[in-house]
Amino acid sequence: MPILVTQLDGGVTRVILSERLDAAGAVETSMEMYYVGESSDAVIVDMARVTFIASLGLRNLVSLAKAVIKKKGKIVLLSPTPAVEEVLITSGLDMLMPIYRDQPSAVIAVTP
Amino acid sequence: MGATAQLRIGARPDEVARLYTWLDGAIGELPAPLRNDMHVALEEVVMNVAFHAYAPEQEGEVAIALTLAPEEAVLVVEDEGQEFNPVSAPPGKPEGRQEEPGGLGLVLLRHHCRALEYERRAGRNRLTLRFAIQNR
Repeated sequence: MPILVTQLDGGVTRVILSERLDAAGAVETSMEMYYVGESSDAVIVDMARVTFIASLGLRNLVSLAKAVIKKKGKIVLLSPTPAVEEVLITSGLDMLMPIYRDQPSAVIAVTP
Repeated sequence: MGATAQLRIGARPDEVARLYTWLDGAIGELPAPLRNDMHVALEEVVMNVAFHAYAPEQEGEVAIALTLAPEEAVLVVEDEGQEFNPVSAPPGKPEGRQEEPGGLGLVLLRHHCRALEYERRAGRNRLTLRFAIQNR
């Protein structure tokens, strides 16, 4: 399963995505990401293990971000690989979910 | 003319997984950034056909052909669905705020290809995606 959800101190939810977020990976992760969006308002999406992302995977991220932001919560991306980061920036997702390079900075960014 | 490969799949989301293994096998040892460009662009095009080209009750197909030349990789995607020209279609908002399928995909498609060419002939959509090998 290319998604793992863990809880960090301070009520921060860390979503660890991995492998390919292509059409199949997007379907596989969408329900879990929906639950995170419904239940969490401080979210770090760890992208370090994601090797590929295209538009269906991006749409899952957009939906998650919108759900969190709608609740006045905060959500950031953590450590995407260069190839994935290029797609994230091209699609403008970094404007919705800022990119951080290390977890302590990401935690500070989403902590109220 | 360089090496060529062809794939024909059903125009359904569950068929799209076959793209990746086919493309990886066909493009061989091209640089990783170029492989990523080709994967992102091809998934966008084929998913668009799968979601929008055919009526829900219609069993459509999509045909993909790859040609590798020393300086260029070319993917040609053909379907018999409704006419759609991604070359002239307005792109979506590049701020991650796109709601409608297709718009965000067009932004990605145009970014990851060197050139896009569209032709509608004899009831078929024919989209040519060109990727520069030497720039990657």
